[in-house]
Amino acid sequence: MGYLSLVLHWHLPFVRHPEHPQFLEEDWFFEALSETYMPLLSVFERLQAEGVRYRITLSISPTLAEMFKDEFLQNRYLAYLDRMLELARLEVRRTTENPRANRLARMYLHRFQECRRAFKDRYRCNLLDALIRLERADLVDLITSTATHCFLPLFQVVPQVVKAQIEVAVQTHVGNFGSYPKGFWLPECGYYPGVEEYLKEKSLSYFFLETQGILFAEQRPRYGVYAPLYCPNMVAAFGRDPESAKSVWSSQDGYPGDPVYREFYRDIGYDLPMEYLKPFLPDGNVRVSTGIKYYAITGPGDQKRLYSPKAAEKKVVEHADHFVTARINQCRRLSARMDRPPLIVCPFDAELFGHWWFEGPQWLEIVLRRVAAEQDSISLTTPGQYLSQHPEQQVAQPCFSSWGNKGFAEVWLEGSNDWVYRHLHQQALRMSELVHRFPKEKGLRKRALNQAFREMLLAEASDWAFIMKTGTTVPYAVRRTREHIYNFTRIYDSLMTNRLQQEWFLEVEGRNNIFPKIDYRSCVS
Amino acid sequence: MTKERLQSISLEELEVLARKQGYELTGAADRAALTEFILENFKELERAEENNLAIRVEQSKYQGTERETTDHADAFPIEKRYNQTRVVFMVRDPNWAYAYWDLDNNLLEKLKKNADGDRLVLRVHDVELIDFTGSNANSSFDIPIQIDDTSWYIYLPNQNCSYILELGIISEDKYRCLARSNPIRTPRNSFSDNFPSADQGLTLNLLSGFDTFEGFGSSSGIPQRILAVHRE
Repeated sequence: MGYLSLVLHWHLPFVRHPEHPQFLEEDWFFEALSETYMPLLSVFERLQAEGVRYRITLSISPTLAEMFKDEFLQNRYLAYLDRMLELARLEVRRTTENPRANRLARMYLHRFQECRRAFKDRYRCNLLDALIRLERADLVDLITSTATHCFLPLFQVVPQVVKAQIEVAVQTHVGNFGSYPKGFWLPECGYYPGVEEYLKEKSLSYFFLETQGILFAEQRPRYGVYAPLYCPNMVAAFGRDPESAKSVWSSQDGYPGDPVYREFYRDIGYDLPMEYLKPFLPDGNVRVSTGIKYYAITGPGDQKRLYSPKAAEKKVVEHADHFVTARINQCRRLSARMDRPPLIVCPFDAELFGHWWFEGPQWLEIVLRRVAAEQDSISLTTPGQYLSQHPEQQVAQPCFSSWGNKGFAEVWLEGSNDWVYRHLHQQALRMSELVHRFPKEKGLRKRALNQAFREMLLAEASDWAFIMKTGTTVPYAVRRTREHIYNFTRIYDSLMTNRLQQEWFLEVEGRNNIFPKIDYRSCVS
Repeated sequence: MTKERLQSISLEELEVLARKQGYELTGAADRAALTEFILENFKELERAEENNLAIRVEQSKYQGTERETTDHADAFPIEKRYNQTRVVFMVRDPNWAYAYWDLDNNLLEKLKKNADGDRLVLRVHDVELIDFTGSNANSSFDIPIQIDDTSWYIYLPNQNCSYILELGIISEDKYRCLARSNPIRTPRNSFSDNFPSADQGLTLNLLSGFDTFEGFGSSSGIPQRILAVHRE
């Protein structure tokens, strides 16, 4: 007998550009709504309706939660769906000569129609309520992450940032979900010894770690990653199981790389003539992916076969069965060496499911069903539930780690992005200076202080450093970093000299309007 | 970036670096050839170290385009320096840390005028298990820096060890500290020798993926696009 704990981390950075009629990077959110967030919700809701018992932990990043409830983005998503519906209809017409492609075009049309219907009618444009319902039904544990997905190990020198990122996250979570998060998702599993002190201050009782964070603890972990460790202050650390992670994450050896699954990189946005796509592309001349993809992974090389949903469906069942059987065997193997039931922790980026791995939500649904049927050998749990059943665990200080390349901090601190930290640390020092200088403000000055705080947090998003490193849309990441530092500094200077340019300020406040209830005094050193 | 850094180190050091990466030296060393070899090798390393699995999936969230940014970088001017004498130390992995620093305007001017005799250095102190007073480090080494440098990656010899960095100046063989950094501690890259009890630990740690986990044993390679010269 053993436990399986699935954790899905839902996150996107705050991207909202009312100053432009259409903005490409907002599509990250729209695509994830259509491909990941709504499909996952419908899996969870379907299982609930059928009475299938499951437990799963969802970490919803504060930036994403704020975007879910943002009316401006909700309306833009509907407009986006209308464009996609039109494109899908054109595709149905364009492919009439090719019955197999035509079936796929109809599939996409149907999916976009379903998205629109679900988003408007079922969710009333706001996914937060659906998440709350699942938590109230005791099927889902909702936890939070840092306010703007700040990679904490690189902010040790400005602890006011670590504190503020956690505090704003918890406040926002309570405001959005009406429940207190019991645990915490450290962005990118970025951990440094001591961060648990700030978690404890906010009564957060557990977090997740990369495998080596546990394995290289100050004292050898008695059960490897198959039981949590308590940090010396009794906040629990759960380590990622590498065996199951590999089977799901890996694009080569893992399930998502199977030849029959849908190919992520072949999109009509890149394959069809510009003239045809024009009305659907940003600025009418920039190729982007549309989500309409006709090919299967097939194999290496550019020669791809058309995607067959039937073949994929068969494979999904196989892969889900394989996953559950492998976990049961793993539990057996581990149980023989442990004096308590082993716990297998599988954290994933939610966007793996549906967006990157098209068939992912289906796979997850079957896994949840299978595990529910195998309760004698394996059962689903959440870290909170596990800790209440097994409160006695080894105490040891975990090791500095992340789930990035090689397990430390090099993704977020290297030649392309190291320049940001000088500025980010400086603005944190300045923010604390503002708090000391203006401890009790009202009116416009208070709003300016709160906005400075928002700009500071937004600049600290690890997404920007990540993009600079991986090179997908670097100018945007650089621009966002500079923009928030610039806005912060301008507000800082105006407060120091008592000269705030109102028109500019109101425009910035209206645009970067995340965390409406923020209190700048949270940033004290 | 890398090329500039390569240009800033001596020919002798270039040779050492190139040899470490398998360069076979025949005859007199040619600076350009060595530089090219090292740069090429870095690219190889980067390809070989392809992003790990979690990172690849995450990357797919941020759609890229061929679009040039419409905003000019000048749209958001930010300060380059902050007119303060300060040095900050950041741990990156078991062997590498990043340091950035700044000099206040007066000091900077003075140093620029007086460039002949004075040398700027970063002094790295191993302060494991001691309460550092400025002169009681377990060991120290200096890294010469140029007046226009503002940041550097530093190779640290010991894992699981505490370090402090000083930004200092050497004039007439006398060292003076200008700013001292925060302490950092390098992580370990191996199992602890401290066992919870004699009979347990290893098997389950092995089952925790010791042999499959991609993070293990790969830290000896030179990090991507980064060069620092290590002197003792």
